[in-house]
Amino acid sequence: MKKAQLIAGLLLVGVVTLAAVVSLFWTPFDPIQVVPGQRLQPPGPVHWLGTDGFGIDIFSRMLVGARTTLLVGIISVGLAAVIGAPLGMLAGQAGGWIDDVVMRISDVVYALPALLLAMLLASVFGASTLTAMVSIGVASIPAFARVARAGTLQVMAADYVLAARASGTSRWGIAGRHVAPNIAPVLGVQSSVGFAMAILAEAALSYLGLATPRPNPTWGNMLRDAQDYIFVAPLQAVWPGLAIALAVLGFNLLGDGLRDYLDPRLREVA
Amino acid sequence: MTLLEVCDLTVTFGRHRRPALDGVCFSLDAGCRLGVIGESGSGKTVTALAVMGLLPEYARVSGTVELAGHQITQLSESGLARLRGDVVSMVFQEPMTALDPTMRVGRQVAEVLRLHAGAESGPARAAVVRMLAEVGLSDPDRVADAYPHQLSGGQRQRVILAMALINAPDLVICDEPTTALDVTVQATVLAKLDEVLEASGAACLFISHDLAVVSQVCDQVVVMLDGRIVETGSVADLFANPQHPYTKGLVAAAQLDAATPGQRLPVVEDFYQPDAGAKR
Repeated sequence: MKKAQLIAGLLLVGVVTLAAVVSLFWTPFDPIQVVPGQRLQPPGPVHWLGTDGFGIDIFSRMLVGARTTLLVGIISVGLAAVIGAPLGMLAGQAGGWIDDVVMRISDVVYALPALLLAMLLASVFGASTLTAMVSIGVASIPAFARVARAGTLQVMAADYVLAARASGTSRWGIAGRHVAPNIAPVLGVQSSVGFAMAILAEAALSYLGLATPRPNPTWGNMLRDAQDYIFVAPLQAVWPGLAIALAVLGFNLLGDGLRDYLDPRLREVA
Repeated sequence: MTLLEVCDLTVTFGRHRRPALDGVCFSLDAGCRLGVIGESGSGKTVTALAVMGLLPEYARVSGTVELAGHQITQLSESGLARLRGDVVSMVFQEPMTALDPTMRVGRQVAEVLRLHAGAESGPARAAVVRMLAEVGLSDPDRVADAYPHQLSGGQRQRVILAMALINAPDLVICDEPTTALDVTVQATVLAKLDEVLEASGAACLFISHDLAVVSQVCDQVVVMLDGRIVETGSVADLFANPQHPYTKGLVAAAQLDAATPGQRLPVVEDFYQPDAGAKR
């Protein structure tokens, strides 16, 4: 059962990754070039998923969209993890005023929605994939900091940390050898949940025109375009919607599966 | 030669609370074994943590702890870290939680070696396997590669013993090392502890609530009650001629053979009422 979850997650994430990689070398049609004569074609042998209101092959746009989705997820989660996790570990280990200062700043950032940050960045620098990545990433920092801090506090109270101190392990030694490996599973789960949320956030931002600008395809702005033809060609909205849902599901399943796999205690029992 | 000298040690947690330790004095010579006995909450573990310099930061400590020429209460954290695991080491009570679940036990033992001896991984491995064999683990190679959850309680306690002994410390503090084990395993672990302490010549501070266990390992005993030492002496004297009513109770409760069949077994409360002590 646990293994099935991991495999299903890996499969879904694998499909998205494959689509992104393939799009680097090959797409059936040009994903940007407008072809007026081919507007709103239904799915068929030539255009597998049909064409959109500009006559562009939807399948080709979906492939390229996967690339943006993955890129935004990787960069924003990476940014959040690289900044948030060490800050949370620091807060949990140092305690006292350092803990207070780090976590209150984190609370302030937490109170700031990614959407607001994205609007701010977009209005200053112009909407782009980069502003979306930065705003989603910054908004995800507090979640990582909190998870890392909670995990650190739990580990620091464990007998084996006392035992490590009793053997002469330094503060940094404990952080590296005991705290980090023990909180890695929760950070892994947080990453995959964060990845799923980043995909949703990116879709929302590009739907609102606050991320990757047209004509570059993303699943979010494809959804936005499909809205104009929702009664004429409803399938057009289904493809990107389905892709977003399955990608989010995939990363959630992968997260749960990874947690069980990374935990040596659970691995042996299963 | 005196290895450990504790003098007038008083520890308080929080301003308005009764001291956890109140003017505790005892000394321990190199190579000797001292049992610390008392009920839970009597200050045994706090004494052990004070000797290791492991009391939490909010503890208020007065008095002196001198270990192998070092003033423990004066040392910095890094100074303490150099002593811990090298000059003094500790065997913990709970074998289930005192090992890091994400680390193979061989690496955990090697870690202690590496921290103080600067050993490289190849020779360290050999030393670890030798040490694991010495504490009575029958398949040390396999155990070294196992995660803690793959071992039984007795096996884990032996691993913890190996961690404490691998740097040949001058003093080993055992904090109720067999309490979490069943009686059969307890006996074999105690016998092994006795053997390895004998072989290494290390001194031992043995903390327990069980007089029978202490008398098996130690020659000298201090009895603690409510953060104070109420009686000190050799194990033989203590059994033959207990002075403090609490000690009399302990001895009577430990001597099951002396009980008359059909009679109620003696308990500590027959000799000592804790409430009377609190009012005093």
